[in-house]
Amino acid sequence: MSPAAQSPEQEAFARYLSTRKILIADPSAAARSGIFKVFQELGAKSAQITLVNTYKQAQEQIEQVKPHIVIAEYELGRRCGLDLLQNQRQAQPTETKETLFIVVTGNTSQSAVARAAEEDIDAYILKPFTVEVVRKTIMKATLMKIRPPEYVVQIEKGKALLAEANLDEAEAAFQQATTLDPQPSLACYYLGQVKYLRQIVEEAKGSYSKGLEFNKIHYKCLVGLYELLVGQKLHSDAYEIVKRISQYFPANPKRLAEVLRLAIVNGKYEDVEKYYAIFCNIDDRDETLIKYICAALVVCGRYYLSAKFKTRALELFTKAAATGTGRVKILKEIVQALLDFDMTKEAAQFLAKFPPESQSSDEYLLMSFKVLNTTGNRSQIIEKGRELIQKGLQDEQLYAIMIQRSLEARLTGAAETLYYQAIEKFPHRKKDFEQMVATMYET
Amino acid sequence: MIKADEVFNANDFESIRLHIYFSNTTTRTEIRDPKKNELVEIGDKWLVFELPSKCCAKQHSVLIEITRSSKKSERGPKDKPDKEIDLLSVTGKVHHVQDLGEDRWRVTIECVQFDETEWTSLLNMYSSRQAEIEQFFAAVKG
Repeated sequence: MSPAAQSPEQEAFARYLSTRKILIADPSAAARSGIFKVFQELGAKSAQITLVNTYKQAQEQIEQVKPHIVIAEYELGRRCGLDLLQNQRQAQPTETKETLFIVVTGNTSQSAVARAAEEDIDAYILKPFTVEVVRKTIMKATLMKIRPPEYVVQIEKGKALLAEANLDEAEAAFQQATTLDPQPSLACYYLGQVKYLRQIVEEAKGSYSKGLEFNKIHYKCLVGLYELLVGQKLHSDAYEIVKRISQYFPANPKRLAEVLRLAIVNGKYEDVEKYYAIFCNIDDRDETLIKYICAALVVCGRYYLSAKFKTRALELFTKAAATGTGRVKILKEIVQALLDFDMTKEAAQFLAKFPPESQSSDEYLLMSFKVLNTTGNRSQIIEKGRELIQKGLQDEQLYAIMIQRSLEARLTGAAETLYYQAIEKFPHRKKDFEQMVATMYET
Repeated sequence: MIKADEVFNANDFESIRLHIYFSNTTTRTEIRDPKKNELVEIGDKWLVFELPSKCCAKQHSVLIEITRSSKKSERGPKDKPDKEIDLLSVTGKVHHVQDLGEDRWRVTIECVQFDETEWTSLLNMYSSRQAEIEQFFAAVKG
């Protein structure tokens, strides 16, 4: 492209690029090479472009080189490219504000796109790409950073004033911003933030809602409203908002955890089962998603036990155990719940689901002991309990059972020793242990 | 009232996954495992792939078949989960080869013979999704 053919924007862009450090992180060498060429054609200097193919290398380069532009594949081995941005924001918050972060990926799923949008990255380019799309997208994202429209300038001015706690001037800046764009949802969001800081909660709610009238999927307004409702403990309203957020921004495991938590808080247990049914249809489930769904099923199961719907509870526990195959923490919670409701036989059945390789784990040994406490004879229980304590297992209930069983066997010396050990290890349970041994001195 | 499947929709987790089947008709060799092949760029009647090294040379004739994984909604009760949907079949010539190291080559194929409708369909599949993504980003961040 000859200089004479360039527009003022293209010239500004080429000037900007010529002094910028660029990092391209992609496992595909061909993709790295293709994007490298695009940057060269746009005016970047080869010596300023670093190519890496792993997450770890990318992280190292971000720390050492502090690139101005990061192009990352969404799928960087086992890690997500977006985690680079999260880490950079934590480690270098000031530099990150100036950094351009673009994802180039073969992942077309709405869940990946929504997650990227939530992270506020600058652009998302699909592979296979055309050179023209890459060129246009990088230019557009860069010009937005180096020559932002007046609306964005005004918002940034307001944000800076907000950071200085200058609420009056920040509010004025955001109000001004609302006149500079036909759909000023972002300005409404920041006005809401100002109102919230002034503790005028209803007006904050009004601002977020107004932002959502302009744009019903404005992420910041949705999250602002949600956090406000949670703060006011309006769990039912918060649940409706977080469901709306999840509708447009799927696959965020933390968001799903909030949906599940609020479903439980609001007593919408049947919703949890519906989410589980949908979850079963997902091919790529990440570990966090599995963990949250299983935990929610167990909590629901516990609720059904308390409401005497034992069959329903067992169905949910079975689903949680099947979905969380091999996850001993889930099995431990299930066994504990069943023991708490005196369902010893069922507890033993779930204990048997612990995978063989975990049967020397502390979780299994403790659960096994607790089941033995309901099925075994006293001397077996005491012998096993001593074994576990000698092994160094730390569990309040272990000590509580051992104290009780020792008292029943009139082993007062042993009971007293266990009592002193227990109150030292679990000082928050001192009153409970005191109550147990009080009977020792009464009898 | 929002329904559960509007909040948490399995379709949202599905991505287009391409499978590239590469045959070198000049040397009569092929790369049977599509996981070793990746379509990286699309140009004006040319395609850029990342392929295992030494699969071809300049001017070789090649046959490339591109399919994609089927979505759950596209599979009947008797279909296997790995059912593939045909997208494009191309006969072409190797225009350029670049050694990327680590036994990988970047290969530019000039497309000589293909169905125009299939070609346009493939381009549109990605260009329309790219446009949707840009609109979504603008709405989310605006």
